[in-house]
Amino acid sequence: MRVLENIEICIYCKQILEVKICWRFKLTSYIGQSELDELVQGKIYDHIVVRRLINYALPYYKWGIWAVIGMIGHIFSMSLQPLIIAWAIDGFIVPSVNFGPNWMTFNLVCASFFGIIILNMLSNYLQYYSLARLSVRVLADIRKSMFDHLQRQSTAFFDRTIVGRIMSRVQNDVNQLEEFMDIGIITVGDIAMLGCIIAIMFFMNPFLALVTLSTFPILIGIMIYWQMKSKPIFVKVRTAISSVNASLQENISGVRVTQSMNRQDKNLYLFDELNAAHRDAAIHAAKLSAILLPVVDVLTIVSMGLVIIVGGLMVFEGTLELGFLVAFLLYIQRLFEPVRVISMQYTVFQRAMASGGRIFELLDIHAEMKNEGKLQGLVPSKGHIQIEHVGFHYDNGKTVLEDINVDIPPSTSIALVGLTGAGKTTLASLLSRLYDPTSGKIILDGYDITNLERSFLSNQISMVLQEPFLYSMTVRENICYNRQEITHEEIEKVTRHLGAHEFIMNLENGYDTVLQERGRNLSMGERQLISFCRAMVMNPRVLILDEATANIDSQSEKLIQDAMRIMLKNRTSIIIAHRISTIVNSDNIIVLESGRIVEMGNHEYLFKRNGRYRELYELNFQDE
Amino acid sequence: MLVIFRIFKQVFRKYPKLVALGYISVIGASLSAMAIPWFIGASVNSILVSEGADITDLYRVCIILFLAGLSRGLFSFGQTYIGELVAQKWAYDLRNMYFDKLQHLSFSFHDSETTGNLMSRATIDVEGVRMFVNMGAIRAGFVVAMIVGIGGAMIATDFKLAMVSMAFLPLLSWRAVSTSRRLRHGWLIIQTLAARMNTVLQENLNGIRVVKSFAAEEFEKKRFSFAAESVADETRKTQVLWAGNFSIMNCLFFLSLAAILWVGGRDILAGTSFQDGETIYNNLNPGELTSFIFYMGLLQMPIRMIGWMVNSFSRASSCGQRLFTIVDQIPVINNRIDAINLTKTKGRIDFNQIFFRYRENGDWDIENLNLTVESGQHIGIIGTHGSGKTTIAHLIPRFYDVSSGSITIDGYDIRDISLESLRKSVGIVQQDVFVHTMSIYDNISYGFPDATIEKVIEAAKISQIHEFILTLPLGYDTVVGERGTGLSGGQKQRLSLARTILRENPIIIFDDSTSSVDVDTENELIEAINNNISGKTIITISHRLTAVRDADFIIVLNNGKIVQKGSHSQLIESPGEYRDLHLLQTNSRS
Repeated sequence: MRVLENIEICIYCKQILEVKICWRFKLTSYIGQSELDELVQGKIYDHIVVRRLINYALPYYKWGIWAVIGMIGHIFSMSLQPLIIAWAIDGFIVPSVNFGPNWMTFNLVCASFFGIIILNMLSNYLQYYSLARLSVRVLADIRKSMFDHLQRQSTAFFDRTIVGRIMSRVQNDVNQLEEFMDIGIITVGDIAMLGCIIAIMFFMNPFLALVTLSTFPILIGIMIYWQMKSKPIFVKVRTAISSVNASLQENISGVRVTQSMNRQDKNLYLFDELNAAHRDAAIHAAKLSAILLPVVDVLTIVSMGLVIIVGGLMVFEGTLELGFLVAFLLYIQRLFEPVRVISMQYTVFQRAMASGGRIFELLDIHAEMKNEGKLQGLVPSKGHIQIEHVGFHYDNGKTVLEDINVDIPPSTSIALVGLTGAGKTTLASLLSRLYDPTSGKIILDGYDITNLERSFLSNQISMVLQEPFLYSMTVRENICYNRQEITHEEIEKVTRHLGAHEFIMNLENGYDTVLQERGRNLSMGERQLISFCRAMVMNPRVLILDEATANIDSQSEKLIQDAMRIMLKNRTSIIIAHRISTIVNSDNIIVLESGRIVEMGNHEYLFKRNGRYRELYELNFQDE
Repeated sequence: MLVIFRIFKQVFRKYPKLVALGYISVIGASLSAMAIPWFIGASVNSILVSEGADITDLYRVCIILFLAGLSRGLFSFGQTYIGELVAQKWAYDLRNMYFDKLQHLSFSFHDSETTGNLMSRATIDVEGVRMFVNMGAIRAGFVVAMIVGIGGAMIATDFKLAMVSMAFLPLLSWRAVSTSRRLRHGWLIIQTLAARMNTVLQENLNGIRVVKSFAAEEFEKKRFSFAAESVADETRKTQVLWAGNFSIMNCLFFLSLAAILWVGGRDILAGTSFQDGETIYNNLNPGELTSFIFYMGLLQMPIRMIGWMVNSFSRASSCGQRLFTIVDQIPVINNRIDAINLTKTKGRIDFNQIFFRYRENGDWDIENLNLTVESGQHIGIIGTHGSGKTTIAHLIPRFYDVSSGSITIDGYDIRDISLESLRKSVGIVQQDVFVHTMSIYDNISYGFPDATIEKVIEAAKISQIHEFILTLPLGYDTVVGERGTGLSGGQKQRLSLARTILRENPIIIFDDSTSSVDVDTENELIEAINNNISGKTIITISHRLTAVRDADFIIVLNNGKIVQKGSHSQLIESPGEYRDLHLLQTNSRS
């Protein structure tokens, strides 16, 4: 009686989709371990988030239109199939019993079935293909605009924001959106199909349609209950696995401490607790997921039974065509399966809305980067720096620098001395425009540096940080950094000059050796030297140097001292000095205290003056 | 393949009852699934054929359908649930096994592996094996049972039509297998590219000061954009591949249905004759056609799952291989069977003609070292980067074993002493400080979890960190570490100092443990340690001479050999490396 049964296809297509989602989820949870953000769940539909997402999709509206066309074709072909089967039954199988074979109808039915199959395939492909094109573009654009936006933020923004948080927004939240775009949009299509089928059923026979839908409320009720019950469990599984992984990671990193302190048993005990908690949560979740399919199965069959009995009676009475009855049976499973899928995707919607909210929150942070100057200064720059009435305070009003006045003539060196928190680093940072002074101005060769183009300024003023930051690129790329036009000869000239060439050549692949994260495969001194080279290939007129204090053995220290001497020659330099030799050799010393200059002059003068400098000097260096 | 057998063996041996139950569900589920088309086919015939059929027939059909549906539901629940249950239990065992093995593998193993690598084994590889246990080991039975069962049933019903329907099967299963392999490959590439993109992001954020001071924003944007575009490209390729495959698989399936409809329909039409008001089907009856179409519907999932299963087999064997090579490793450094327990260690250490190298056939990292440290002595070791200072420190608690020669403590060769008691005797403050994400209290009592709070505070006071801890809002309960409050390098070092001091080991090694502490605090630290720790053997390793000035004697290492030995005052008098270093270090500071 029921001639065609392609409902199963529906079910299994969805299962393949879910399998795909599983995959994606695994990737996500591995790439981003911090899941705190993810646990906050949002509304199922957030108008603002959706509208802004659409803005990102607008440039690719063509793919969107194709996707909608594909979706309509898909809905059309899927909801038409049962009708064709009804036609087949009423058109040739039933009449044949009484009037003999009807070849004409048979061929027509087969041909239209074939046509529907082709339509189905084409529309399916069109839908998924366009969606893939669209979502990939939208996600890449969102990622890039987040990154660009971050580049426009000021240094102060990064001082008060935890890197991990930003990372998690660019990684996990965007991945969440990806999952949403992969299946969320398909779900919208499912809902449309649902509506379409219900309408067709009511059009065919309202009474039987009501009978068919009678178990529907029960199904929806079960789904809502299931959703409520299972959500906390799934959240629990996610948090549990991330604690397991965090604990594992920490124990691998700290394994040397563990072994030297005989703590293996205690650690295993602690790990076992987390591991078992995850196992139990996962088993609980497995039980919940496994129970849903049989429930839907049984309910579907109950509905079918009802339709067979009621519809069968109607067929006997002659108020219903046999083909219509079969079509109803086929529609039933098309109705029930999507409901299950939609209910499982409920959380995907919620998470996506929450993630979208966080992404746009980040994009809405006002870009604080100060006015980009347009002027080009003197080339070659003289390197004359004047600091006039410069003051700086943080947003919270805490004053860091107050009324600083210094004139640094070309090719002289200045040492900044003072206790931690005196404002040395801030002053140095103002010079390379990591921050802008809140009052007063800094002048290079007569130009206010805020009026100079930043790329011009960065060619004139180079800064070397205390803790060298190296990238996981090759040594050469680390040295050129953003000036890739530099030739190898120029690089080698600088590295030879600074005494770095030899150790670089001793590395596995010389200049092409790829550094590990943050240059872990180099010693601290070597990292320093490379960051010196990076500053020197720019051949800057002004050098700002934060002298490294710790972790350098004496031999490298000598190399670094020599390199510094070479770098400072014929350059204007501002040094946050920690070594007494650097301080003594500089042309001018500024003693900072609570953001003010308390003493200024050269070593001899200040030493004789018997003031704050002398005090600091004796505190730090007397016993050597 | 050996790996697969091993997984099977372990799962069967550990959970025989569950596995048996799982297979019973598998068989039950496939039988009841196959029964449904058969009943429907039979009832279609009875309704269609008998004129004026009565309503009881319909009731019967409905009840049978309902029962079959119910039993299919129950069995498929059992199958899914038990499959996952066994898989999760096994994954749990595997994680514990892996974790414990990692804890016991020697330093040389950890030197050669990165954390990221070991982590991806615990996440991706365990996951791969877990999926296999569920999908491959237990539910694969369902696939096999369904394909064999349905194939048999179809052939028994009508040979010709069976051939028509099954003509599509090889094509479908081949596509399922090949595409799922290509998709997996694509996803792996995406994963790698995504990791690269995240590295760019992370480095950009962590090194934002470099970016800003070099005005390199545009350069960085280009780098990120390149990385993001490559992810997008690869994702697009994979998605399109998936979309194409999905549509073609669907289409092939519909086509097979169309073929059945067409061929079967022709058979019915051509072979029907009427005698005495009775319809006689000579070739095929409508009920049989119906059950064929149902059978095809049922075959759909198992065929698609073939791709998954083949994939999960190959994945499990590579994942399992990687995991088992670690789980099977025997730590290089191990207890002897008759190892002695060292109690009441006095702390005399003898190095007898020690040779050691990290890499086989490499240069000696320690060469013919002879040294005696008396109980209660304080010695200093000085040398440049790579001179072997830290190596010596790591040989004493047997983080590595000497290549030849021997080290004895109180006259016992350390290889004869049990590792537990050896490491109880020797405390080491390591150069690379590791702070755990736990409270400060837990961090300090890490190696001595039963310590009282008084003891912990005392150790913190000696390490000059007590005052700092009190300034924190939660004091000793403040959670520090990677995911807690950040500490400066100096604070971390003092924390790890307290951790070791608390254990009160008879022998303590300080391996450059004050390098990040400023000079003033370092002096205070040295004084506090000297005042509070008495009667213990102390070895201080440093590149700063100030840290070893007060030692009973100092050895100067160069290329793994002792080049000088004597007290501070002796060494600065005689020409040599020590005096050179002394001059270099005081010059740079005065």
